[in-house]
Formats: sequence, structure tokens, C-alpha cells
Amino acid sequence: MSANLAEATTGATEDRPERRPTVLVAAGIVAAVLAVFLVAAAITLAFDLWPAHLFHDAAKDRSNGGYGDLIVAVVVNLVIAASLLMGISQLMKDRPQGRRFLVPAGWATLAMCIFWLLMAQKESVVIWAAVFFVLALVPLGLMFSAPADQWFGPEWTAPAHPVTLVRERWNSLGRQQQWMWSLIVVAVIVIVPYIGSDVPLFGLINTEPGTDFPISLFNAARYALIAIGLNVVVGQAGLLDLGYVGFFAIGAYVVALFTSTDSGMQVFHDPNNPWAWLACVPIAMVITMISGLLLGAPTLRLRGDYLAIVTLGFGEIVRLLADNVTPLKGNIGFQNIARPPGHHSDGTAIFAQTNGKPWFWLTVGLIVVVLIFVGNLERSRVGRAWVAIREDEDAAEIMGVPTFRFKLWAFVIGASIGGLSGALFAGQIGFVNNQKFDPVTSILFLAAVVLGGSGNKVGVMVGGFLISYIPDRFTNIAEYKFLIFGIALIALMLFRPQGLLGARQRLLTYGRQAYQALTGGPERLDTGAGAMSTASSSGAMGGQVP
Amino acid sequence: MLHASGTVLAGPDWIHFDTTSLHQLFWVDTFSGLTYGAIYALIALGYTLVYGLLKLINFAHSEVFISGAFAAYFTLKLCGFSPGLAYATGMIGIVGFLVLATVVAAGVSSGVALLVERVAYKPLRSRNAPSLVFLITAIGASLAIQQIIFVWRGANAEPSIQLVIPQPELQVFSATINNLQITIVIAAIVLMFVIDQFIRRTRIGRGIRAVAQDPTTATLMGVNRERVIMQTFMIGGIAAGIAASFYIMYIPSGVIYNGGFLLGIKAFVAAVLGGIGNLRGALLGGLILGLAETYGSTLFGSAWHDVVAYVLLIVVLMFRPTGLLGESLGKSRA
Repeated sequence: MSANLAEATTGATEDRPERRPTVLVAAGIVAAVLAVFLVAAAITLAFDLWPAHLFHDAAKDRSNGGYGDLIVAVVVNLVIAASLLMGISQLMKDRPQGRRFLVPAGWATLAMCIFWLLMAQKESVVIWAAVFFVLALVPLGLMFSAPADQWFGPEWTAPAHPVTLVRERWNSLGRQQQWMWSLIVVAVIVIVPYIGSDVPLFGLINTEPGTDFPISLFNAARYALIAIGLNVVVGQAGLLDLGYVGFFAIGAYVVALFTSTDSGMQVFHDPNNPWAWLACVPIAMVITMISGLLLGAPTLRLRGDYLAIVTLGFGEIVRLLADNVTPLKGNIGFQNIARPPGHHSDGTAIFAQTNGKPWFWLTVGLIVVVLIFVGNLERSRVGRAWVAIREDEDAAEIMGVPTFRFKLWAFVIGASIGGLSGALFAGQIGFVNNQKFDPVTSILFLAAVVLGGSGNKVGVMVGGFLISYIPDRFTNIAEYKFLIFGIALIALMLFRPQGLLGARQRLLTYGRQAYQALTGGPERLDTGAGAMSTASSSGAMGGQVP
Repeated sequence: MLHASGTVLAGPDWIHFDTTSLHQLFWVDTFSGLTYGAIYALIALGYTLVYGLLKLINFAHSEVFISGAFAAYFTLKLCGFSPGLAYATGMIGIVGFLVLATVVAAGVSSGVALLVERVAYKPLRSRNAPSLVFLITAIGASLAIQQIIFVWRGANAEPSIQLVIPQPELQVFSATINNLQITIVIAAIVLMFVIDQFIRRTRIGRGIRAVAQDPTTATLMGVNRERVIMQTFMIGGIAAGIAASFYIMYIPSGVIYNGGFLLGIKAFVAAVLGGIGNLRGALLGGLILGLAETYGSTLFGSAWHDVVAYVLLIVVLMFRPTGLLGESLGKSRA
């Protein structure tokens, strides 16, 4: 044991023990069993044999008009099994490369189990998924055990994270290339609503009235927009806002009050007035900005957790006002809310409630505009002040950052984006009452930001998409969505507090760019390894040594 | 536009200042407000203890409370009582069943509080996570427990079991006080006194105060910090369980899965109002909040009942964030 320890401390890869440890033999055996199970599952699924009936209902698939999910499942099973076998054969030859096949295969199996549970065509799928889950978890756990880590050595134990790799590649691209790739991504996103319901994983199977695939995409995009707005407050400035739904509600109510025929304060009397909705969007944003100012000005001097409770109170006050103030009509609400302008040649409105595509494209366009705006803010003095406040408010204050003013800025900008998405919501639904603005929705918004990775714009958009799309896609778990996302919040904070796509690396990049802009060269700080490693990895900017 | 401004000048028509009925109902409101306030104070105790010790808003405390309420409700149901009936069991029998329900509620609440502490907070504490992470975890825990109850019992409220029929006992000024109000207010005050003395005089209380003052030094002096934290969560849970038992006795609307949220927020407001981290402050804050709410709902109409708490919270935090008695748990002397 002490000899092994001595070998480990020398740190060199060649010093690892020649023979693989017993845990890896055990991991290989379990992985082999898993591979056999996977192949068996693939065969039974493909030919609709008896064991597959335990968890899969072929008749239901047929009635839903496609075998898409089934084909994907068979292919995925076979690919995972092949990867497992590759890994086992590498381990048998005492090569650490086996880890490269076994670990991703293990994770993929876990993901597949979760997917089957989400689909849950039959009750007995739970047993089936549990078997696979355990079979995958055992080798994974063994691969990460201490003797295995020691045998693999450091370079195989902690390989570069794929997110980090993508991020580094992206950061090394030039500005024009980044723009070009962004355009390609947006173009792909724009054609997504054309994917029909027969495409596996994407298309909705259950089409409840009013939620087909484009509409659920629109809702997901709306959540992404909300997540970007909340991210300015929570992710950038580090202010926990639990009343964000209040701003969303104000945006929706402003549009409803000014354009609905039910409203006593209607400004745009003709519901076909093409400018009604368009004119109301900036008004809604300005009014939510003012409400953000009204909430922020007295409360932003509070500490973080007090602020959270006060914002929660604000969200509740907005909802209770909607309940109780007579002109806001409580539960009865407002109908006939204006829509964006435009008609097809046959005279029907382009932005109809039932057609999600134009709404989705409009939202994507707005997201792009908001992203450019927020991204530029992030790279500006304001963004740097936000980061400083988030990391250490006292230190920022001492360094001369007017923290109160910048916190207020974050609040107001976040609020206006919330108002914008509220206006979109009101336009698409065409009906606003007090039912959609309860505090648990605020927490759902927060979950979107935290899940995706607070502070990372791409991350929070992914988070918003998941929060909205998962309950739409897997309708049999829609009832449990708050439970699932509540547990996800705890699990994330315990195991991955930075979210699925963390933000740390990017912020370091901004700090580095700022430093280089200031000194005209790469940083020369002798504060230790952290500063040195960032300087060496700065890539594109690193060449400007004077 | 002209019309709108005219309405504002005359006072908007959706809000009334009903001063006459406030005058008439003043004493009725006072006693009902004190009863609500006593319940708030007991819940606020959990917030204030945990905050005093860990500087953490235990957002899941509202769910600690509501799980106690469900426990008390189902204990009574298991004892053979069902909603909507009047029982002729003798005085001693009723008291016995209520004590049993209270004990079960206190046990379940403190169990849930401990569970939340162990599962959600302890790992973060050992990692020295920032306070925002604690709060997000707490929100997640709150949502998860609430939704577990939702999945179990559904969206409808359990009908309330009226074990004790409110009977007028005393006539004070223009108001009658019923037996429930007397019991709850006196029990809550006695309980708060007992817990206050417990924190001040006993060995466990000394440990709690030591950790609240200076965790590192307390650990060096041989105080087991983790055990003290668990004890604190348990005391808070017991108080919440007793409050839950009072709640199902006094409030006829029954228990519902998300019923904890509103009471949790109000109890938090009560704790902040009295000075969070201060046990006597929790009692004072609870009673003041209860009074303010009932007066407010008579003055503005019952629809505005819940707005009072939120407005009070914002006002307190703006003008006196340390609360009325603003003193920390650690500073109270032995």
C-alpha cells in the first residue's frame, strides 16, 4: 500500500502499476453483462419480441404514427454496447484507453434509462430502467474508485470537459468567424419548427389542443428569453430575484390593458389596428422598467437573501393587485388582445394563436437582438461592474464601483426583458388573467437560469428551453414538473453549482481582455498558478507581447 | 385620460377605507389578530433560530410547517374523527387527542427539518458555499417537499376537522373571546417563554448561543457544531409542528399542499419585524403582524389581507432592517 502511495506521489504516468486492479476487472465484467443486456434489448425491440413488451407498447407507437423513438433506441443501444465492448477489450490489454469508451457509455446508459422513464409507456418500465441503471452505475462507480484512478493516472482520470473544449475553440475564433457560426446556428434554429411529429426525440407525440410542436417551441423560446432577462439580474449581477414573474405579469397586463376590448383603459380601440401591439411593446417595457426602478430603489441596499424575500413579496403583490384591483379584472381577465401586424393573402392573420411558427421566429429574432444588447453590456463597463458586484460587493464598493447604481441597472434591464416576454405571451395567448403569475412560476424561471448555468447566456437559454420543453414533450411527467425541477435545483446546487454550462471560464476571458486592453500586453501578475494558466491559454490575444 | 385622473383625485373606486367597521370591530380584530400572531410567532421561531445560528433563511421551513399540519390532520383522522361532524367526546378525551396530534405534528416537523438540514444544507456547509447557493437549495427543497405532498394528496384542500367548537368564554370590551383563542395565545406565549428559557439556561441552549456567537471558538471549546445545528433545526421544527396543530384547530379552511408558502412568508416577515435572530422579537413580530393583518383586512377589505404582510416587510426592511428588537441570538445573556 505504501509502495503504491509512493508511486502515486511521483505523479509520472509510467509509474502506474502494470496490472490493472481488481476493481477494473469487476467493472469490466459488469460492463460485459450490461452490453449483453443492451444487445438483447435492441433485438427484442427491433423484432417486437416478448421482453420488450414489458416497457414498450408497439401498438401505441403505431397509433402515434411512427417508429422514430424506437429506431433511435435500437441504434443507441447497439452503439453503447459496441462502445462497452471496445472499452473492455482495451482494459483486457491493460491499456488505460479503455476509460475513453467505458465512461461515456456508462453515462449514455444512465441518460437512456432516464429517457425511457420519461417516455413511460408502461408501468413496468421502472423495473427495466432500474436494472439498466444499476448495471451502468456499478462500472461507472468502479471506474472512479481510488485504485482505478491510481492505475489510470492523472491524464486519464480528469480528461478535459467537452463544454470547456467547445468554449475554448469558440473563444479562439475571430470575431467574423463567431458571427458566421452564430448566423448558421440561428438559421438552423429557424428551420426547426418544420420538423414534423414523426422525427424522433423532437416532434411531440401527444398533441393536446393548443400545443403542437411549433407552439411548444415558441413557449420554449419565450422561456429562453425570460431566462436571458433573469440571468442579467441573477447571473451577471448576482442578485437573487424571486419575483421575476411580477415583471412578466406587468408586461402582459400593459398590453392587455391598452389593447383589449374588455379593458376600460383601452388606448387602441380598433383590434385590427396594425400598430396596436407594436406600440404597446415599448410601452410595456418602459412600464416594467419603471416598476423595476420602483422595486429596486428602496430594496437594493439590502443583503442578498433579504433581497430575495422582498422580490418574492413584490411578485406576490403584483399578483394580488391583479386579483383585487377592479380595473385589472382578476380571474375574468382580458380577451381580444392585439397581435403583431400582418395578414396572409387570404386575409387571415399571420400571428394567429394556433400557428406557433411566426411567433417562434419573432421570439428568436427578439432573442438575437436582446443577446446582442446584453452581450455588449456584459463586455462594457457595466458588465464588469456587475461581475465585480457579484464576486464581492464590498470589494467592488471600495474599488470605486457605484454598486447601488449598477445593481439598479441590472434590475431595470432584467425587468424590461421580462416585460418584453410578457408582451409576447399576451399577444400569443390573446387572453390575460391572474392565473399564470403565481410565485412558483418565478421559481421555475430561477430554475431555468440555475439549471443552464447562471451567468452564461447560452447556458440559460438551454435551461429555459429544457424547463419549458421537457413537460411539453413528456406529457406524462408534466404533472410532476415542479417536483422534478425542485429536486433538480437541490441536486445541481449539491453536485454542480455552476449549472450544466458554467460561466467561470468566460468571465476570466473578459477580465483578461480588460487587463490586456489596459496594459497593452498579456498579464504579468505573479499571483500564482491561476493568473499564469489563464495567461498561457489566452490564445488569440496572447500574441500581442510588446 | 381626463376621466382617469378624476378617479384618482376622488380616490380609486377599488379601494375603500372602511374606518367605521374598523372602529366597531376593533376588539374583535385584536383578539383574532393575536391568535393568528401567536401561530406566526411559533413558525417564526424556526426562521429566527436558524438565521441566528447559520445566517441562513431556511426557505423550506414553510414546508416543515405544512408537513406538521398534514401529520396532525392524519393523526386525528386515524383516531376516528372525520371532517364535518361534531363530537361529544368529553373534555379530557378531546384534549388527549389534540395533545397526541400535536406531538405527532411536532415529531414529523422536526423530522422534516432535520432531513432538509442533512440532505440540503450540510453538504453545502462542508463545502463552504456562498449564501446564495444555500438559498437556492432551500427554495429547491421547499418546492420539492411541497410537490411531494401535492403528488400524494392532490390539489384539493383536506376538509378541516373541527374537534373543538369555538365557544364564547369571555366578554372583553365589545368583543367575545372564544376558548380556542385563549388556548392558542396562552399556549404560544408559554411555549415561547419555555423555549426562551431553554436557550438561556440549559446546556443545549448554551451550545446554541456559543455557536451563534462564534462557531470556530465554540468548536475549539468542545462544542459539537453539527450536533448543535441539528438540535436547532429540531427545536424550530417542534415549534412549527405545534403551530401546525394550532393552525388546523383554529383555521377552518383545512390543509392544502401549498398552504405552507403563505404562512412561511408571513412568519418570516414576523421574524424580520421583531429582529431576526431574536427569540423575543419573533413573538413580538408575530403578534404585531397578526394585528396589522386583521386591522388591515377590516380597513381595506378582506381581499387585501395578504398584501399587508408584504408591504410591512418592505417597509421594515427599508427603515429598520434590524427589526424592532434587533439583537442577535448570540448576544442574549445567560
